[in-house]
Amino acid sequence: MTAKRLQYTRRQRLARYLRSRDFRTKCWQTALGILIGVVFLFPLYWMVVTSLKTQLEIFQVPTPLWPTELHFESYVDQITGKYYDTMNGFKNSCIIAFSSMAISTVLAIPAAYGLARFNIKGRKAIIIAFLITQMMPSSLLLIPLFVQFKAMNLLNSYLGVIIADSTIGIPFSVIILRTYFVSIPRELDEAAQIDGCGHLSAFAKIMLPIAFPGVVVAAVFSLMFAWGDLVYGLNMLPDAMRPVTSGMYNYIQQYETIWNFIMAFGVIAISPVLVIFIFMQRYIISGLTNGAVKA
Amino acid sequence: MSDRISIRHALKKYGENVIIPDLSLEIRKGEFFTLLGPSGCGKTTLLRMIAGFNSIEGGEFYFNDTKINDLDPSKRNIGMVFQNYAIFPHMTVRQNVAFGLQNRKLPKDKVREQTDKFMKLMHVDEYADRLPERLSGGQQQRVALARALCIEPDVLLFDEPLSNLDAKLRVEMRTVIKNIQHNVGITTVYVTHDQEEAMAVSDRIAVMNAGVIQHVGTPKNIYQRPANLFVSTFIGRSNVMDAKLEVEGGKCMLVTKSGYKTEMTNVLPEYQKSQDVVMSIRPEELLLNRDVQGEGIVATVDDCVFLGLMTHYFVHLESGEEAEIIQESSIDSIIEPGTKIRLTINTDKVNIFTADGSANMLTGVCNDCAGV
Repeated sequence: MTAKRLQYTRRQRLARYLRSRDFRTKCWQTALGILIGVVFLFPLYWMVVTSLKTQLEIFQVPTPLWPTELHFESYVDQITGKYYDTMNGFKNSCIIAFSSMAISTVLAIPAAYGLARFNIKGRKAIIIAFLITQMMPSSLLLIPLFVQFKAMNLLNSYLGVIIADSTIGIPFSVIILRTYFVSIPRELDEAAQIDGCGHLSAFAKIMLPIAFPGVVVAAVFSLMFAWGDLVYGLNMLPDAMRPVTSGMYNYIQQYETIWNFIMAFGVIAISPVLVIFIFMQRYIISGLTNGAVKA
Repeated sequence: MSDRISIRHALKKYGENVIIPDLSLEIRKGEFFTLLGPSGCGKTTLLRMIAGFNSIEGGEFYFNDTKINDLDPSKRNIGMVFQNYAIFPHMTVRQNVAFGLQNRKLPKDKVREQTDKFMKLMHVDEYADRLPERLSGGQQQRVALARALCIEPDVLLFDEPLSNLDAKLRVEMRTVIKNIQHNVGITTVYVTHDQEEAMAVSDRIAVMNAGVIQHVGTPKNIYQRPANLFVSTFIGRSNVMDAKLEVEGGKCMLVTKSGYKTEMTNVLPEYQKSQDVVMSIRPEELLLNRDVQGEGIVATVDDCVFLGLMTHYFVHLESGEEAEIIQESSIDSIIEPGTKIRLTINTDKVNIFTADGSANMLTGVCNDCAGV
């Protein structure tokens, strides 16, 4: 009898909840979330699906939403390198992207800490300069950088492109990390100093570990910027040293564009960044939000 | 070891804005000393100058005979407990407590032994391997205290350490802090704006206002014989009324606005002349009589609040002034609003200040800052 009454009460509670405004709001929010998710994920889905279709299927009207038969030739070609040596492109991209990430992160951490903690003259101007630099498109910086690198003998070398890519990663990292350091209470610095740390060791032992999610965000985005770069890699490097992104043009030929191969190439090219994002998403989400709201 | 702290003519400025104009203070070895004052009075600024986190624009700071003006905070051998605890969030309780010892490059077994000792002392040893995010506010405060004590500092500084705790925990923690300080015997400087907290824990209190120390004394002395009107109104509740001091045949008579006259036997010789004064009467120093006939100030009850042990009466006097009276609740019914009553003053306890409120005119004021 008691159990029956309890069950009835639960059912009543559920019915009341289903009629509540709270439930309706949650439904709307979920629907909106799904819609936005679909809008963002559909290009990815289309890329994967197209890579598994034949050219004939791709241009079929109406085009099917999924392939009738899975074709993996486009992926096999990425390894055999009939049109383009993807593995060499990967090697180049790894050298450029990881080096750029390392330089951006290593330089941005102390710069952001300094801008967050010390009363440097012209601090606001420096922050604004970083913000403006971040907004500049790569194509705008290409010509001045090209001229400078030519004078410095950095053209046709990985170092030139690594530095050029870091010009995108550093401002972003400084801005993200500065917000993070600002959100860390100053008392933690002071407590570390009281416990015998100097400025440098307090930074290394306390600030840096606390800001770790922010550092991960800065590093991942720097890597992503450098990985996705095409302008610098294409203009500053010879064919054999170009990053993987430049390989896409090999599938655009005089008389046809091999779309399934381009899409398979795209899938392969973004996969390292995708994997990093999946593994680091916990840090990325907390790193992007913590800096803004932490007391 | 515990240090004596001497501050001589301290000056603190932010640009052209003077926060502390000229402050001198002696904090005795091993005492629990509290800086008390309203927000923005400069108490935290002074504490941070002692800690070495704020620059010193003028004056001298000494730990015993060592001048510390230019000494790095890490070299001052101080412990500090912050308002927001400042526990390192990425370290466990044990790592937090051991952090200072590890930086001093002590042997591992000594670090462990000392860490265990202070974790036990603060009753946080059972959470040794927990991260701070899994501790309550009170537990975090205990960890902060253990970390501050573990390095065996010469001076312990507290910057409003209990203001983030709820009322019940605040009372519990202040007892813990007081007991630990007494057991360890370390010179302690404690900053708070909560006068009840200051009274409960301190050996001596310095009441500050606008960067100036108004009164340094024991809690009892500050409450009973405040040095000036500001201290009188800041510590506890006071009814402030204008009055006159009249000298009649060598006797000092306090005359209220309503004409009530009572003899004061404890007026300092330099103030024994007829003049306008301000009297400060604590609610419990006004004696309430239901019989309106006789000597006293006639008043009408506006409101009464029964609080169990005590009953608070809010009255207005014939002169138009308002006053609060606290009386022990009696078995009889409380006095209803609108009832006329007669008030007399407990002359042993009342305080009389000069008309500008700058000095107490009675004997018995012990102000240690006057002698610095």
